[in-house]
This record gives sequence, structure tokens and C-alpha cells, in this order.
Amino acid sequence: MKGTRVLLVDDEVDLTDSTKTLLENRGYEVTAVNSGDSAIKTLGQERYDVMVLDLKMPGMDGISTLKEIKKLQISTQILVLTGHGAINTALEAIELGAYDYLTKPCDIDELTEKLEDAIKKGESDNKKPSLFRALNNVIRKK
Amino acid sequence: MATAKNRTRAPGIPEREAYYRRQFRRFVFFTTLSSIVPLLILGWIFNYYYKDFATARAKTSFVTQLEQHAKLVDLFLQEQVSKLELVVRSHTKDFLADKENLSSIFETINEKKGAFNDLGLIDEKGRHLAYIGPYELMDSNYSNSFWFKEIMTGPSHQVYISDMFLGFRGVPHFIIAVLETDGSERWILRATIETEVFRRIVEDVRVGSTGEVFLLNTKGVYQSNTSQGGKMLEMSVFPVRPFTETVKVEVGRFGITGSEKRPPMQIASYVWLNNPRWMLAMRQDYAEALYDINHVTYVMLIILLVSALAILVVTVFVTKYMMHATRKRDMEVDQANECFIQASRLASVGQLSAGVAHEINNPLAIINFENQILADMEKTSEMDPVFQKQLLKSLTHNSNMIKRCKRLTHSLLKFSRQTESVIDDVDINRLVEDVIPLIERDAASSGTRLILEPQNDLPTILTDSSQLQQVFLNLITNVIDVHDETGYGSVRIITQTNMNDKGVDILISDTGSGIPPERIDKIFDPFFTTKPVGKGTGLGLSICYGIVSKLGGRLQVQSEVGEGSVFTVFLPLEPPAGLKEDGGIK
Repeated sequence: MKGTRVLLVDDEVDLTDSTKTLLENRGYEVTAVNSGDSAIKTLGQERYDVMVLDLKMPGMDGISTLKEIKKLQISTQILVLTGHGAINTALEAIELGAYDYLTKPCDIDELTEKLEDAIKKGESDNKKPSLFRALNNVIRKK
Repeated sequence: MATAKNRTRAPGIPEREAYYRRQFRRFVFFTTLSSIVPLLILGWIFNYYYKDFATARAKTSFVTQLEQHAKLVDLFLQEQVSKLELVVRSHTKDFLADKENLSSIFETINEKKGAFNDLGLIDEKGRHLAYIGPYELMDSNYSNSFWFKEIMTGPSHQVYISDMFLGFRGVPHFIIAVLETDGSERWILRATIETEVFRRIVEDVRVGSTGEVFLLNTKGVYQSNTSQGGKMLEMSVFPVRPFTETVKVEVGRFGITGSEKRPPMQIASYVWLNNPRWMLAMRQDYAEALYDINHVTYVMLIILLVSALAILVVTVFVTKYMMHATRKRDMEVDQANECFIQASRLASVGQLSAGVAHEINNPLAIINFENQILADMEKTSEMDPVFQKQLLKSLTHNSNMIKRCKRLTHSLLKFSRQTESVIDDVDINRLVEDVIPLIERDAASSGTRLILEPQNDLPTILTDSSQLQQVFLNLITNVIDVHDETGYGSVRIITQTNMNDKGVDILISDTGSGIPPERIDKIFDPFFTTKPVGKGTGLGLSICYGIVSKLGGRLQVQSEVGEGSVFTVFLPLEPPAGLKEDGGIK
């Protein structure tokens, strides 16, 4: 979807470069960072619709990053990207609030598909509070 | 190089066998030594003390026996002396000189034992005043007899007992003479003792077959016959011992008595009588006297020998058994080590492949995305049609190769994950089909045909696919190996629904030689293997059994020698409740 803001987090610069190029070709606004620390910093400064997070990184790894992000209580949806193929780690990530996971290497179409799903989920999440408010208003009026 | 390498490894089979043999010999030697030596020492000590005790007892018995015998002989002599003394004291010479009176007295004193041979009254000139007896001695004059001279030169009242002598009658005999003095008149009552009666008393003792009892005078002349051939009045080989009133006992060589070449070792006891001065002696071969000890020693020797033999036999058997157990244990340790090595090798291969797969995945992802960037650009850029065509072709090729690499890395990762238990819906037919490519090569090389007969509408079951994969891999490899010897055969794999138990049966049958009944109970035991050392771990089937049981199923085998075997795996539609929770169902 055009104009969707995506944050790519991977220690592999070449990978973030090519992913960025591909996603930008498809109309996404992409920021790439290469560590968990800078991801959290960036998230604190700007709003992103989706974050694509690599699980295996030197220093702060994906799971620790996820835990930190959870503390920030932001609405960014998270897609976990792993080369590890370890389902357990992916499951752990989902338990920590990630929306879904993808294993490397994946096709760009797979990635965009999951991105779109994640965005839809984010939108419905965002709607929930306003829906609640609307509902509350209706109840109060009555 | 090769030897240096061998030295660091566990000892090989021949070295082990030599080691076992050495241990066996050592153990038998020391056990036997440590049990037989004390036994021998004990036997020796017992023998030593028993010999002492028995010798002392034999000596004591020699003493008491002779004491009693001496008393008997002495008593006999004193009795005869007393009778004569009584006669002399209670009658006058004139009375006794009457032949009828003397005869009646002779009969009275001789009534019981008949110990007297004759009785005579002799005056101081040595002439018979009266004589009662079988010989014609009335006219004999004793004035020159040694005994007459001896008695007449002694005190006025005395009793004289002579040694054995031949005298007028020419037969060995001895006399008892009682001298009586009546004022100036002296007379003698003289009696001859019946030699046979006396001999009976002296000689009537049996001391084994080599023993004898005899009387010697002070010169060492026999006063009795002996059972070993000694004759009265002959010189004895037995030496005259010093005078003693108490019985003495000696062990030594006292001269030849029978047909021996050299004097035998003998035990002898002796005592001197008071009147007459005779030595009563008893002797016996030492060996016979101590027969008891020798017998005991002999019996003990036999017991010792038998015990030693028994110890040896038991030791050999026990050691053999122990060595067998050691050998078996060593073999199990070897196999366990081998399994451990294999397992750790597998684990490290797993780790390695996981690492490699992961490291390859990242560049692969980059290549993939770069390929897609090119594909994106191809759609928008203007370019030479020939180049464009080639680019498209190359991009497609790249994409395909990337997919191939991806499949490879994913299966490597899958392999490394096999230990994790994940319960999932599993299509058994598919699972078996997946396993078959892995063992097709094995089957082909052993000449075995694999025949799969799946039931098409087989229900999917909830179970652990990766562990089941291992089960089928093991089972099918096992039955393929059965055909190694023959070089041909077939393995049939049949899947079917089991309505009764609500599950699925997988039958794997072979056309091998079958399993003998005595082995069929053991084939699921850990470390049981019929394969040559180093080929099979003996763990395959037991692992299968463990996994199938854990998954709530059953693994059974039926076999007919010469026909082949059928392994039946039953798996329930759902695993046991505990496993479902642990395994984490997706």
C-alpha cells in the first residue's frame, strides 16, 4: 500500500539495502537500521506502520528488541524475519506480540502479502479504541 | 603411525583376549594360593599337636597297662609266697615231715589255681624230709644248689624266689623257698611254681600284632616266653633297664624281635618287681602303637587333597564366570561408547548443518532480493530485446536455483531439529513415502525390492512425525539388512486402518531367514545385536520400541524361521494425554 511506513531491522546491510529497494519500488516508505538499539531509538522518534525484524543479530537480538518494544506500547505491527528456521523462536516472538513470521529466504511477494496483512491488523487495532469510545457514547446517550 | 594411533584406542580383541587369559590365570593362582596355603598350615598345625597328644596318650596307656600287669604278676607271686609262709608258720617241721600231712597241705594250697607243681620239705643239709610231686626227687640233695646256698647264707627267716632254671628235672621252672628256724634247727619248705600257670599270667596280654610282654632277670635272661619268639632262659635283645619301682616308658630301637632287617622303632615300658628281681617289660612297634595318629594323618591328607581340588575347581569355575561377566560388560561398554560416539557425531553434524544452513540463508535471501530487484527493473527499463530475453531467462534460472538452495537449507535445519518432539497431524502414507528415498540406495545395494502398499483412505493421526521418521528409517533399514546374506528379497510395507484399537497399523515384512524363537524375546532389548561387532549398535530396535511406546503405540514382531519376519507398528489416532501437553500441538 502506498505511503505505508516500514522499518527494516537487520544487521546485514546488503539485505536491508535490497529489501529497501524492492519495497520502495512497490511504493512503501522504508527506513533501514542495522541493530536493535537503533530500531528502538528510531521507533521512539517516528511512527511506523510495520517493522520487519531479524531475530538473529549481534548485540541486542530480535527477542530482546521485541521485549523492549513491548515496553514502549506503540501500535507498530511487527513481522519477524528469521534465517534460523527455529519455529520455537518464532513462536516465542509471536507470544511477545509479533504479528507473524517469515523464514529467509522469502519471495518479495510473500513479504508484501504479510506486510499488508499486518497493516490491516494494525488498522483494526487502532479502530478498536475509537469504536469503544463510540460505543460508550451511544450507551451514555441512552 | 598406525601403531601409535592404535595405542591411544581401547585395546583390540586379541589384546583383550590375552588380557582376559592373563587375568584368569592370575586370579586362579592367587585364589588357590590364598585358600590352599592356610589350609595346609592348618592341617600341619593340627597334625603336629594331634601327634603330640596321641603320643602322650599312647605312652600313658603303655604305663597304665604295664602297671596293672605288674600288679597282677606281683599279686600272684605274693599269694603263693603267703600260702607257703602260712604253712611254715602254722606247722612244725615234724608235722610237715609226715608225707600224708604234707600231701593234704599240698592239696589244700593247690586247690584253687593249681599254681604249685610240687612241694618239698628240706632239712639244713639239703635233703628231702618229705616230697609231694610228679618227680622222683625224694633222694635229691640240694646242698649244692645255688638257691640252697643262697637261702642258707641269708637271714634266719626269709622267702626266696629263684630265677627260672632247669634243675634236676630238666624243665624250665622256678621255686619259692621259705626258710624257717626253730631254735637251732633250720628247715626249708620249697615249692615249684607250675610254669604253665605262671606263663599264662605273665604272657596273657596281647599288645597288637607286634607287641609283647615279658619278664627278664637282672642278667637279661627271659623268664617267660614272648609272643614274638623269645624263649625262656634265652638272652633277650631287650637291654636291662635301671631299677625302678614306677613304670617308665621309652621310645627307641631295642633290637630285632622278628624278621626285621634293622631294629624297628618301638615304644616300651618296664618296671622292676621287688621279689624276685625281675623286670616286667612291654614293647610294641611305634608305628602300630600310633596307628591311630597315622590313620588320622592319612584321612586328613585325603581331606586336604579333596578340599584343595574342590577349591581349585570352584575357583576355576567362578573365575570363568567372572571373566565371562567382565567380557560381556566390556563389550556393553564398548557398544555404549560406540553409540555415544555415534550420537555425539550426529549431534555435531546437526549443529554444523544448522549453522551452515543459517549462514547460507542470509546471503541466499540477499541474492533472492537482488534477483527480484533486477526482475522489477526489467519490467520498467527499455533494453535490447535479445539482452532482455537472456536477462529474463537468467533471472528465472537464478530464482529456481535459489528455491533449490532454500529447500536444501530447510531440510538441513529440519534434520538438526529432529530431537524436538512436535505433535502434529501426520499422514502416515506420506511419512513412509518420505522415508523411502533415504533408504532406496541401501535397498538396491543389498538387492532388496521395496514394495509400498498404502491404504488410500488412511486417516491422519496426531503424532510426532520426526520421531516416527526415525522409527521407520530404523525398522526398514533393519529388515533390508536381513537380506545382506542372500543378496535378494523384498520388503513389503503395508499401511491399514486398525478399527478395533482406533489407530493405524504399519506392517513391514521381509523375506529373510527369520528370527529363531530363543532370540525373538530379546530383539527389543538394548544392545542385543546379531550383527558383527562394530556394525550394529544393538540400539536401533530398542529405540524404535521406546519411541512407539512413548507415542502410545505398540511394536510387535512375528517370525517364522526360513520364511521371514513381520514387524507391526500400531499407532493410535491420538497420542497419550501427557504427551499432547508436553509436545505442544500446533
